[in-house]
Amino acid sequence: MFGLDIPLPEFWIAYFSLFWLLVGATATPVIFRHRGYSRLLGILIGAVIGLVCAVLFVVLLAALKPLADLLDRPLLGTLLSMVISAAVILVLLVRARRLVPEARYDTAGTRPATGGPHTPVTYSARVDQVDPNRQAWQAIRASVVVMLAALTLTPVVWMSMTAFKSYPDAVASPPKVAFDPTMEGIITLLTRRRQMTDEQKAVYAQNEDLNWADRVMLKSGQAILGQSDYVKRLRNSLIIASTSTVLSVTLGLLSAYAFSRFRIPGKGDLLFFILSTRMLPPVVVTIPIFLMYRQLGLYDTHAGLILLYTAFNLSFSVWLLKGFIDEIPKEYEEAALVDGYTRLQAFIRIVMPEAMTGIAATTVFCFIFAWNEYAFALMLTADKARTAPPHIPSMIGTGLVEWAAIAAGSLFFLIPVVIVTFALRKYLLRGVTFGAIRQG
Amino acid sequence: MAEIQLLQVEKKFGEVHAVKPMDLTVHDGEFVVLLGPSGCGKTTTLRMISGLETTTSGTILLNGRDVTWAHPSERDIAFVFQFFALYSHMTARQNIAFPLQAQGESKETVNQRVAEVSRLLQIEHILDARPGALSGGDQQRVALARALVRRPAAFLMDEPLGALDADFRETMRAEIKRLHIDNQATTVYVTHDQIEAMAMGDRIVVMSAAAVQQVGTPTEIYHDPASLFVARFIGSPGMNLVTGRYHGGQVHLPDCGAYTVPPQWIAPLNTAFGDDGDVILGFRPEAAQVTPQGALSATVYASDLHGSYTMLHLELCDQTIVHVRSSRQSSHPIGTAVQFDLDPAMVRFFDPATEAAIVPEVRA
Amino acid sequence: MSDIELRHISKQFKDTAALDDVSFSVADGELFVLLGHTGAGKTTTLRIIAGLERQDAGDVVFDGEIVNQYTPADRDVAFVFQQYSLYPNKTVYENLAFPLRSPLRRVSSVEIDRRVRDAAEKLRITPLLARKTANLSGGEMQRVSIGRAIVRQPRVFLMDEPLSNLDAKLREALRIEIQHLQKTQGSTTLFVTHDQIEALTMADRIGVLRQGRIVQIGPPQEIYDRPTTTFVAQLVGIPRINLLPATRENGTLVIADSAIKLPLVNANEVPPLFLLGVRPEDVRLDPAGDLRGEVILTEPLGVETVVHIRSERQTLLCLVPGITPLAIGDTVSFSIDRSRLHFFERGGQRVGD
Repeated sequence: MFGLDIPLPEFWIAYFSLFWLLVGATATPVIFRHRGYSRLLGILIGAVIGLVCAVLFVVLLAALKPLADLLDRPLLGTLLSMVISAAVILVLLVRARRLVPEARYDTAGTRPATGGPHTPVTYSARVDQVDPNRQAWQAIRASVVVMLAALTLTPVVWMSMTAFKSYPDAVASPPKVAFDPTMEGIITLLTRRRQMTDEQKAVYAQNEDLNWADRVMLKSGQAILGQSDYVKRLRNSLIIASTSTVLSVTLGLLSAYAFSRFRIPGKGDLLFFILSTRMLPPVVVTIPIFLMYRQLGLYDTHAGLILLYTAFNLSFSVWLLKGFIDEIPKEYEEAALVDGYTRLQAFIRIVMPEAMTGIAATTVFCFIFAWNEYAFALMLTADKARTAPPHIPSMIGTGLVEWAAIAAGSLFFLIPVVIVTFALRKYLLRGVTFGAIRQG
Repeated sequence: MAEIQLLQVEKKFGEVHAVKPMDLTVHDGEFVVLLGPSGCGKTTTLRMISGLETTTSGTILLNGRDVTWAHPSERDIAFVFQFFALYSHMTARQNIAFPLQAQGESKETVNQRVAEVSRLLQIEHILDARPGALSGGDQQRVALARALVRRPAAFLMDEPLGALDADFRETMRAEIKRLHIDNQATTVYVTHDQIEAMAMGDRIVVMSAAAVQQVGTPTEIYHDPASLFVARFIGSPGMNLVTGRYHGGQVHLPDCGAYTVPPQWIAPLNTAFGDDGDVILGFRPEAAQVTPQGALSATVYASDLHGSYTMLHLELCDQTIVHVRSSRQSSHPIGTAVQFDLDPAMVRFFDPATEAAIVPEVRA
Repeated sequence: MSDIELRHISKQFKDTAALDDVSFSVADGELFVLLGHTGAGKTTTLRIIAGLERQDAGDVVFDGEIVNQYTPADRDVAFVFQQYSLYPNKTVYENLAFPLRSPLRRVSSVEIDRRVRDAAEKLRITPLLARKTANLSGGEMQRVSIGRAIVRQPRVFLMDEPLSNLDAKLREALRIEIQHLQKTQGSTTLFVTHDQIEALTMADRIGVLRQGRIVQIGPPQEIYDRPTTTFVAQLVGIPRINLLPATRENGTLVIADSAIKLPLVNANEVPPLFLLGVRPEDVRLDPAGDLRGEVILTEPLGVETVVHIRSERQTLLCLVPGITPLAIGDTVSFSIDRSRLHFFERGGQRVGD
């Protein structure tokens, strides 16, 4: 590329360029604001500096390639040269800091003492927290985190794109980033079809009440017969996960309250026992449970999976909720007791509202576990109660693998969890209101 | 020289002033107390001096060096917290040694200084205990030792006695004061307890609602309060403040009698109010005496024993309650009508509109 | 209102005896203060009376009836906690009304509103009724806390150090208010504190609690003038009482390690080695006094000054009215009021009179 011998595939060149751009655009405004310029100016110049750094990085990599080749292992060599290049650039950036002069004109009005920021600090912060060097390093660290997060999201993004690709696009090599989107994959996921011969196709095409979906599949010569199992599976997942979550959170809340407030003989041992149920990998117990369920007639029933998920989630929810309830001062309920309420009423009216943060967090975690659970769902269900996770890979059948359909299936499977977590995000921020206690 | 200077130091949170621009000089070796109710800005001021809080504007000088933007670790000050802030996983000895070790001192120096400081604070016998096993008072002594061991230029203390039991506070108060007399270190001390401030301070900075009300020695603050706030806040209970009408050399209390103003006050009061105006008369509980010849009349509202004296709560005609210090033996049943008089050297006057004290022309 | 009686209450926590044979009574309409250090058992006593803890032995009696078996709700007591006293996330009005909405009481909403406003009026918090508790200052929160106790019109008020977490000035103001309220309502109140000023000024009677045992019960004057042990003597009085080891030689009392000698009147009742208690206000500066010492510290408190006097190796606290020109290092002459001496044997028990 550009006539240089760069030991990185294009994707990674783009990735690191973005990284340096981010570094420049976040660290520079910090310095600029401290010296009295506007933040916007800092971001613009920072972006330019970032790009310069990116180019420098690539050039350095190419320059260090002979050095990397000396080592026998190419991956290690590349990593080493990346680290060296990054270090060099960071050192240059640190030196470049001093080049930024103090603003000659002052928009804030008062000129600060030596070393202070130009805009007056009107929030609570330690002096070393306002230090631009420290803030610049924090910006760089943040950029690293952001890029790592972007990296982990890449498969999800790729999967979402694949859901809208036609089959040839989906299996193209090299992978296609730009493509014509189509609904084929989604329709394939949601319907049962039959392949038509050419004559049947011609007849079919004459049909008046073909909807848009029919027409899309007509292009590949398929006629839609009806709904596939996927929707059923998704519904099963929803029912089973929601019910087991509600059960485990409710039962867990009551148990946690009891463990927290009452004197129970052997409390420590009981709590340990509850925790121990999570110490085994679930796979180990699937066979015994399978045999048990067969006997009890719970095989392939909703109730069976709900029961199992509740049992597994209970240990987690009891421990988590007990921690939250421990933090609620018992004086609150005691005041209610003295005022004439029963313990249950005091619990419902006083403790539960206070524990909302904990309940929300526990709900999210229990739901995620039950939703994503694969091993038990595979072994203990056949058709009636089968959930989505075992179903999706089963679409990798013989013959053609419908990658787009699988991607679409995974995408749809992802959405409810994202919604639940997003809806409860306010509660997941701890310390939203432990506000009845004030430091005088 | 460990002089601390605050020049127009100010702190705002958004648009709200936490500390209005203030000037203060703490001289070398002085024990200055920042006193005020919760939220008045005293702790914020202390934290700004230490660097734990940034200034919105103004300059802080330590020994003439501008430290406004110096990191807390670069300021050569030691901070003592209300809740001790001891490391619970280390022994007392390790806690005390920690600051010196962080500075990279040699082992002998560390051991020697730790021994010196623990002898001073009489904590040699608890050096190997963990903070969790120590009483509040011992923990605070360890915290003080940790501050002393560094021999910093100045000590900053944030309500260090607040977490201790009432009677232990008295003992620790005298100890800290004696320590200060011995080592003569510049100290800035924050408290909301005016008794502590009076007992310990060389000078007291009385603060309220982000502003400085008065700076002075305990005697000045007590006997010549500059404003109604200081008059009320200092002393337990605070100064009695009675509103009346100044006219013809007398303060007329509504329906209750008239108090003849002592001669040295006539001219200043005339200057302030002309010949007629509302004035607030102030007197401390020990300045009043119940006597049949007294010019002012009231009814007994309550009386309670304070150990070595009785505090009488008298209700004036306009239902204001004043407190009068009386001897232990005095017993006045609730509802009795009494007369009382005021010591002329101890009365003070305030302007109700500005809340400021009227200054007499000739100091008695 | 009811009277309270505790008969031989004992309570163990794991291996420590929190309460050991505690007995006392609070008369109808009395303000009884339980005074002691942190951890002495005061809060435990209160919680046992309220029914939040079960005693191991002994009886709690209201109006002559044993109430051990009653739940907290049935005992009809009002409890003011030291902190975390208000229902969070509720307005002040809701906090005051909540006790009246409990299923145990069938109070109409008209009556609830009347009682809430009445209590708010008494505690001067009417302008705060619509505020959420998170937006109140410490003093306001405690006022609402007390208001919540008042609306219930219970048999007995139990207050667990309600003023301890407040600023000194706020404590003073609220103390007088509580006193006034109690006297005008005639409510039986059991008030727990470690602050001896609160005890001395508010109480009709004081009970001193130490490590789970009652040490002395009596009106404030008696506790102050005739403490039965050195512990009680040191507990009340600001500044602290001077407690000095002394010896009896013929008809003279000599304070150890000092040059202080005083003639002794009741030599027979006092053991040869004993502890002498002198309150700082009974040590007076006297130019004609026969005792001498050196000033090592002065603490000006405005209305009076605490002067620390050293005689050889013993330090004596002396209370001087007003301001004094004395400085550290000055020599002073002083005398001690002989009619106000307290004698204790080495073990701490009072002797002599």
